[in-house]
Parts: sequence; C-alpha cells; structure tokens
Amino acid sequence: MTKNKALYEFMEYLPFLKELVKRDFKMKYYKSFLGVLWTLLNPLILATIMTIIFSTLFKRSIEYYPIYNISGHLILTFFVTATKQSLSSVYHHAGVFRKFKVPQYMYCLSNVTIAFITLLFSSVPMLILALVLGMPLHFTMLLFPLPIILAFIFTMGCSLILAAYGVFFRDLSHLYGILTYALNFLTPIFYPIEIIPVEYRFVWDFNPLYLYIRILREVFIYNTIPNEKTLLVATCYAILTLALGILVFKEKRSKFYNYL
Amino acid sequence: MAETSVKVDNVYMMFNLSKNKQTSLKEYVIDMVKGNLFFDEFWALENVSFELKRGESMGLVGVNGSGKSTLLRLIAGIMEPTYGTIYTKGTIAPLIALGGGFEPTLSARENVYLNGAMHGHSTEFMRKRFDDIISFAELEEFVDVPIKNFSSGMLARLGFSIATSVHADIVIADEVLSVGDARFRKKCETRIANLLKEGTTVLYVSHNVNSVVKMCKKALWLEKGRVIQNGNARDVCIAYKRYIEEQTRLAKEAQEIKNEKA
Repeated sequence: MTKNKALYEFMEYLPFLKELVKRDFKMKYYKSFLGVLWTLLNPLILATIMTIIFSTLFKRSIEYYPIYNISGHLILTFFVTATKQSLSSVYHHAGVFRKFKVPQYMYCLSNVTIAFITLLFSSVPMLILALVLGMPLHFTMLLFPLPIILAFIFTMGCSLILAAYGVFFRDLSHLYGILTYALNFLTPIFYPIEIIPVEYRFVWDFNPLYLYIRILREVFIYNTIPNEKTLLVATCYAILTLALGILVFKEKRSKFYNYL
Repeated sequence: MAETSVKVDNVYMMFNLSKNKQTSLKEYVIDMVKGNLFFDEFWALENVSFELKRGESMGLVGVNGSGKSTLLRLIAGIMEPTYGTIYTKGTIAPLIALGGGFEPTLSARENVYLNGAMHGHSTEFMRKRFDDIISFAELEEFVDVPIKNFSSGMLARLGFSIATSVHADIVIADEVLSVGDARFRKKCETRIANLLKEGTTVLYVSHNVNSVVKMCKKALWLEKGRVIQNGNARDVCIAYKRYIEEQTRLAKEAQEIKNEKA
C-alpha cells in the first residue's frame, strides 16, 4: 500500500474513529453509575492506600509522597489499560472486519484515546491534592502536557504491535497480564529509585515509562526543566516505538484474514 | 456506457485451513520445536476473471462453499486477493453486512451513525439521511431505544435501511432479500430496483436462481472456486439448474442403492 493510499484510508475512516471514541466515552461516563466521579476517585483512593502503607517508609526520601505516587500511577495505568485493551482489539472485533472495510487499527486508536482521556480526567485530582497538600505552584507545571504526550505516542506504538500479534497468538493476553503485573514493581511508582542497588539500576533506566514518569515529576513536583539528554531519549523512544508499531501492523495486517 | 466498472483479473484466494493452526504462542513454540509448522492450503478462488461495464448486472450462482461470498468480499475490498488484481471504479455499497456491527447497548440513533461510519461515511453525511433511514426502517417510535431490545426483524430492517440509503456506483448484494416479513421484502425489492436505475453496476448472490434471472443480465457460475460458466444470465442459470437437478438425482440413486444393500 502506498503512503497516499494509507493516508486516504485513514482520513476516510476518521469519522469512524470519532464515533468509536464517542461510543466508548458515553458507555464509560454517561451510562455507568458514578461515571466521571469514579475516574476522579480511583487515583485518590489508590494514592491514599499507598500513602498509608508507604509514607513512613519513604517519608525522608520523598517529598509530597501522595503526588509522587499519583503521578507515577497515572502514566502506568494509562499505559497498561490502553495496551491491554488494544491487545485484544483486533480479534475481538473479528465480526466487524469480516463484513466491513474498516481499518483494523481504528479500534486500537480508539482504545488508546479513551485511556488518554481518562488520564486527563485523573490528573485533575492530582492537581487538587497538590493544592490541598500546600505544594507550591510553579511555571514548570505548564510543561505537564509534554511527558503525557510522549507517553501517548509511546503507548500507541506498543498498542499497535500488541494488537497485531494478539491476532496470531491468543494466549498473549495471559502472558502480557503477567508482564504488566511485573511492570507495577519494575516502575518506581510507590518507591524511590534510590532503593534499587546501583548495579541493577540500568534496568530501570531502560524503562521508557519510568522516563516519562520522571519527566512528569520533575516538571510537576520538583520545579525543574528536564535536561536535553533525557528529553531526547524520551522523544526517541516514543517516535521509534510508534514507527515500529506502524511497520509491524502494516506487515502483519495482510495475514489477519486467516485468523479472524 | 462502455466504461469498465468492475474488473477481476486472474484472482486467486488462499485460506489457511490447517487443523493445527497455531493461535497460541505456546502451541506455536511447541510445533516449531517439533518441526511441525505446516500449512493446509485451501484455495477458495482459482483463476477467476471477469469484467463488468457500468450499469451491468451480474448474478453469482453456485452451491454453498463455491466461493461466491469470498469473491464479493474481495470486490468490496474487505479482503485482498492472494494473487491477481481487482479494479473497481466509484463508490461501493456492500449489502453484505446487514445488521452486522451493531452495538446492543446503544440506541438506534447512535447505531445509525456508528454503522454509517463503518461504511466510511461522515457524521454530516449520515445526518442528512438520518430521517430517511429511520422512516424506511419504520422505527420512528424506537429511535432512542437501545437496540438490544429490538427484534431480529427490526435489526434487519435497520441494517438494510442504512446500507441502501446511499447512492453507490456499485452495489454488492449477498442474499439481502431475505429481510423481514413479506411486506417489507416487497419494499426492499422496490428500493433495490430504484438503486439500480441510474447506471449502477450490480453483483448479486442468491440461491434463488429465478431471482437471478429476474434481476441480472449476466451470470457467473462458480464451482469449488473455479468459473464453470460465464455469460448470459438465462443460459448460465439453466445450465446450473440442470446440473443441480442432475446432482440431486445422482445422490438419490446412490441412496437407493445403499438402501437396497442394507
């Protein structure tokens, strides 16, 4: 497929993506009891529990522990929700693809978008909590969109790869469940990176999600602008992953019909 | 009028029907270790070629599993052929997906927009046709009811109404006239006849040979994915009908011999 044709296809089905997002949004927020309130409460409840458990342990090393925790939790939850849903997105809608010409990646895009909207909603309680805790506000906070947009691009790439392989290997979701569980501990969300022995820390440095969480914390809590190297690496991770995702999906797509 | 509307050129379509098709990573690894990764190829279409000019209509006949629906889905662009090329000119209305892709928890209104978008239509585009779609489907009272409460007839009516609300250059119809009750079926037939008026190219699949002769000028007879006969609808249908009768008679005779032996 040529570039133009792919772009044309994308544009043609953009209204479809809009409808999908609208549908999911409605189902999640209008038609469910509690709706938006739940999205707002969820990170608060988790942060409260985590704070009760860990704050005495990390009181000295982490300032504003609840914010530290929520900020990490936001990005990780976004990533995990989006990728998990995307993994099964193509084969779950096999019925649609047998009958319609809809590009298969549209469900993936819509899952990631919905998870992203949830991320945006969930960041409201983070801000409120910051005010309640008396955390000083500063201008670097305005850079808040930067890490989450990078996380969005990175997540989109991962979702495309998982969605493509999910068609061929239906047990991938079990495997991925274990991986995401491990990710909860491999990403410094409720603990400071300092507790990891220095000789193992390079593993943590490889974790792109940690990179985005770190940038978010730097601009939101620590009033610092991340250095160029961090930003460059973070951007490269995001763009390369997305490019890989597009390539993989494009490659595998022609073989889907056998498995759907 | 001599403009080519659909051109199918040496099309082959292969499916992998392997009994131990690996749909899990675990099995894949095990089979790879065992050196067991073979594929059972099934050719749903072999060397199919034909051409339709603008405004021509063609019926596809053949027994179940002869590749008719696969051919229609290829032309509709839902799948791509393994070999060969398919050329189509203009917009296509695939009446294959009637009632497919509906979301049970959403209302009829929301489903019209969602389903329209699945056909590649924008919200604006659907808004203009919305009233027409609902009134044709006779669902005015139920616009905002979640369609999980609809009867299968209501769903089929809605599906048909959405799919046929758009003027298309090529109409691909797969057994669509089995929608709803007799009265609604009549309405469908009129609507399809209207769709076909202004130079629309039609591809039509039906097990009812008479309706193929009635609706189409040309016919294509497929058997196990190969073209047996391509030509005038009357001739092809007569040959096909004769073949079917012959097959039925042979099957009956075989059964009788079996019975005698037993």
